Amino acid sequence: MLKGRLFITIVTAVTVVALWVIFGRSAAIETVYPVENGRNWFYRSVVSPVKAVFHPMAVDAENRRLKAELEKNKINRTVVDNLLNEMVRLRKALNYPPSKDFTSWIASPVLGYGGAIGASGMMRVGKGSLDGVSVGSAVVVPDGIVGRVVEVTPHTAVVRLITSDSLRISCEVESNDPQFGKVRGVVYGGSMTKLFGDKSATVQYCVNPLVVRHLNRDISIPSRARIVTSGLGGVYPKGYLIGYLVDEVKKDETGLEREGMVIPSADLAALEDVFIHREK
Amino acid sequence: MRNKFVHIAFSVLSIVISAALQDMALPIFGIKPPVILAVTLFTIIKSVADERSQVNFRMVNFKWLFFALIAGAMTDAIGSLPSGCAVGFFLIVSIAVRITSRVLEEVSRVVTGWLALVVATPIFMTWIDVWGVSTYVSDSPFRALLAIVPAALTGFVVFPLMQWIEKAVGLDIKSQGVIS
Repeated sequence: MLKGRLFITIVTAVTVVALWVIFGRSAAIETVYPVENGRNWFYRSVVSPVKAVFHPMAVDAENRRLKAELEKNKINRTVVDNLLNEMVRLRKALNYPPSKDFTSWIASPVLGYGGAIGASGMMRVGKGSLDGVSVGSAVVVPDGIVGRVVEVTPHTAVVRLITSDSLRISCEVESNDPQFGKVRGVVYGGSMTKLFGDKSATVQYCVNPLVVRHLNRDISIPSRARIVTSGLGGVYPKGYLIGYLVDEVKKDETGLEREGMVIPSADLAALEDVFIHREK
Repeated sequence: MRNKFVHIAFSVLSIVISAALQDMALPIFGIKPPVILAVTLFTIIKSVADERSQVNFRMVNFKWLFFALIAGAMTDAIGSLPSGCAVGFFLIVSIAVRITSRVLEEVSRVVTGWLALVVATPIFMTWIDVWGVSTYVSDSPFRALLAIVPAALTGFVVFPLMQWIEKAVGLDIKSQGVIS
């Protein structure tokens, strides 16, 4: 009798632990999601309509501007589609493998930064696996790269920001000078300590500088140069803006490469909506 | 029976709402207001008071353990912490609070909870750092002491508010005819 009860207790405990490991985290996040999303719902369904009632002229002007922009984008889209088709045909003719499709993006509201404890370099967004978001998807805004999805639940996703010390992005220095050639490097987040010594200068949730490393030591890159994604690795689309060089790149401590500080182009502290790449 | 069910539902709902509020909150000195911890401490101190009262007296009352586990699991999930990090801490704090709140029998629940929150929050930030999660505290262990500020402010708001809501819902001990 006692053995039977002990067996049942152990089986129950193991089942509960297994269920928690498989579904627990996701279930906890999904439980909180309706409350978090309530704020967005309230803003969209109550605040915005009330604002529109009190500012009808401004809403009308905004509508006209957006309609004009939409028409312009429709025309641009036709041009882009033709170019894409042409590119696909040419790649086929040259026996090149097809390039990754970066045309499908999902707009998603930002639910919160830093999780429940204020962990640096992460945020939660309100779109998940049910909307086609998957782990590893690129997250961007029109101003630049934001980060990468690291955890997904049915309705939410956790995004690791580019300022996080665990994220690396292959990059290029953009230049219109043909003599300049192609200069590639790697952008690191959260690397202020090694480059600038004093970590106390870091201010969380403000624009944290990134560091670009492994640049060719023979090329002196001017300040304000645009740092864009190289497209290597296939996570981020090629040529997408990461940020700008703050100052001229300097030789690193080994003297074999150059490195410099980069300010992210996207205002990571003030994002309300982001775009997540949907894998087809 | 009904009262017990309402109490559990009220506590679980409080923890869920506090988790959402903490996730959405902006940090003070890089540390988010510890709303989940505050609500959990309030619930645990209430369970001690319940045990002392005549109405809800039980020889063994494990409701506090259930709330501590739920709150810890919620913090782990929402904070993207390693599984067991917050659960472990919340269990230790719950046991510590249960022991000390019996000692601090004469002090009010609000004051006991506020003190526990102010002490527990810096320790929790250090605990998280030990588990290898990068937070504002990672820069210097002394920064954990700054957690006292958001903890104190949170305590000022959460404990009186919870007591007021509890009274409004009819779950406080006095409304059940027993003066703690």
